[in-house]
Amino acid sequence: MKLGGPDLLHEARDVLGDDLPVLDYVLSGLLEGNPPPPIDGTKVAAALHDPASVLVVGLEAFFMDALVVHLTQCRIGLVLGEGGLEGDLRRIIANYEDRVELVKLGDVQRWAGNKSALCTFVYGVRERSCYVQPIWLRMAGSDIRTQFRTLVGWDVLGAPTPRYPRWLVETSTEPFSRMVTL
Amino acid sequence: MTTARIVMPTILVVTLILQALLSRRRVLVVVMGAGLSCLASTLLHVAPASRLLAEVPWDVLIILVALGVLSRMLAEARLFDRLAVLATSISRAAALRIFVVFSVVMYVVSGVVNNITALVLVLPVLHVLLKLISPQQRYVSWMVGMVLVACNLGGAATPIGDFPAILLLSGGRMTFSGYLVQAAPATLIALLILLGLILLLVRPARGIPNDPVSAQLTQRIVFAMHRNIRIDKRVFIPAAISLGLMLLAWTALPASWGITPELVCWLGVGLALVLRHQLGEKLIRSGIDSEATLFLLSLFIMVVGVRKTGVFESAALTIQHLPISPTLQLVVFLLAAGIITGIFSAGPSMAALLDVADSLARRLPPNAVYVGLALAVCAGSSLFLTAATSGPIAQAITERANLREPGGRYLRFGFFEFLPTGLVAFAVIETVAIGYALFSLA
Repeated sequence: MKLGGPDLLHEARDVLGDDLPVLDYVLSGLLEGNPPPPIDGTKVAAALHDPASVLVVGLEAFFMDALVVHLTQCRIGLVLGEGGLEGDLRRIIANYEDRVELVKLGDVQRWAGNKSALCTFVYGVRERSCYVQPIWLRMAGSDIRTQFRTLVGWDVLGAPTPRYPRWLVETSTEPFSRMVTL
Repeated sequence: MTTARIVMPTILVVTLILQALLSRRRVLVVVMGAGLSCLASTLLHVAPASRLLAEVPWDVLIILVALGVLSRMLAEARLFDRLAVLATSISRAAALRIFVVFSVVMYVVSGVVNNITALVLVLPVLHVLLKLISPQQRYVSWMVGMVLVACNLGGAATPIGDFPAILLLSGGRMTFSGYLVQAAPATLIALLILLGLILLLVRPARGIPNDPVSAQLTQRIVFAMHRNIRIDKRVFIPAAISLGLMLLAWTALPASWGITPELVCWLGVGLALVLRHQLGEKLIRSGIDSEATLFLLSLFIMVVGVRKTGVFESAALTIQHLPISPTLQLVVFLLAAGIITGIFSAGPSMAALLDVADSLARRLPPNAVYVGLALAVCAGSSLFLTAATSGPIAQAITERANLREPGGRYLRFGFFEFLPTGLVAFAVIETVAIGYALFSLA
């Protein structure tokens, strides 16, 4: 039996869309015949400029998968904050074997340096603003961001969302040294 | 009756009661109990502490420690993650199938590796499934309870599955293949009867929606959560080869060579660790279950102290002098073993009852006595949540999983939630134990 199709997409959007606006946006795109493009980490890896270490802030699992395969020569850390949708940390890290280390907020500065980079996932990018996972606000503070050479934002949706993306927070695009779109 | 025959058993019994009551301090309690046993034994001229230590069955401890390390190595190879995903795939995330598949998987896995490693790694995947299928309290209680019972049955199925069976393998009471041939079918029959009874009479999955869309979504989520998990062949292959060689040696080496089971285990696991020496060093340093080892070592010391007073011989004689046939004497012994295990847990009761079993085995077919005892101890381990170490661990992991009913009500798994499963499991496994013993005597 084949499952899925527009009826279920409609139902998923009706049931979950209010709570999960990003999912709502993706489902709407699917219903309008615009599936999300394939995820490719090449441009983000290039924007990071051959780093010695990369701290990824927040998580989009499939994007992270696509990025990790391109960062074979550097340390990769993952900083996850509280609030929003919380995941199973053990399960998350297990999927990256020994490639990705979970980094606590208090240990972030151990990763700083002139060949270190920060990368986060951004949503609904407009000219001067975008939405980010709340933990990014702490990382983008002037005390931390200046200790990293590169700050890259990875636009996971490729367009502004019509609805306010609950669980995320609005911030300026100004601190980012590069913004990479799908 | 000498003072020693009162003092030594009293220290043992009081320690066992205290460790059952103060389960969070149980290792400390038994370690201190063992120290007091040594002191009393010395002062009462039963035997010096050095004699008690010399009579500890070190072979059992070596097998336990070595197989524990091998279990950790298999876990490092991500074997259990893959097994859990395979179980999800086979069950197709349908409540009834999940119940059967996870019970069978835990039974099979527990026959080879220790229960706790298997539980700690497989239960989280089961919890993800439980969160996604909109479970009810009765389903969670029976499901997690059945997983625990299946662990106990799997542990009793093979001579290396759990401590009671290992104890039988040591000292030459039974051969590896001799135990396996007798115990595996009996435990499998117990598992099938238990599953049949629960599924037909209790129907734990009743009331859980059987929606194909939800089932497929559930499977997809579990697969996505394990999307990049592959068995690490560099770790798995040495561990598997080592386990295969050990199984071969246990079954094929002639006893006249004097290469004992614990020596096979020591060298076999050592080989696996040497082949992955970096991981091997790490596991040797930090992968040994010191809690279980210290717990059992302390129990053995206390049991040896009591044995030295001749109390166990008297207990065996009491059973032998019961005015009933030897067959009924064995039945009484097996029933008592099950109940004592339910109260004091498998380690203490098996260590204490084995002397009585040795005495019975001189008059009755040894396999009827020993395998019957292992099954009875398995029944007792399944009676209460606190009767086996895996019970409180499953409780803690399940509570941390924060399972909820669709209405939001928190789902519990504790002593009383487990009790119905425990009572049914005890009745079935104890019946199989007695049935097996009677069949062997016929």
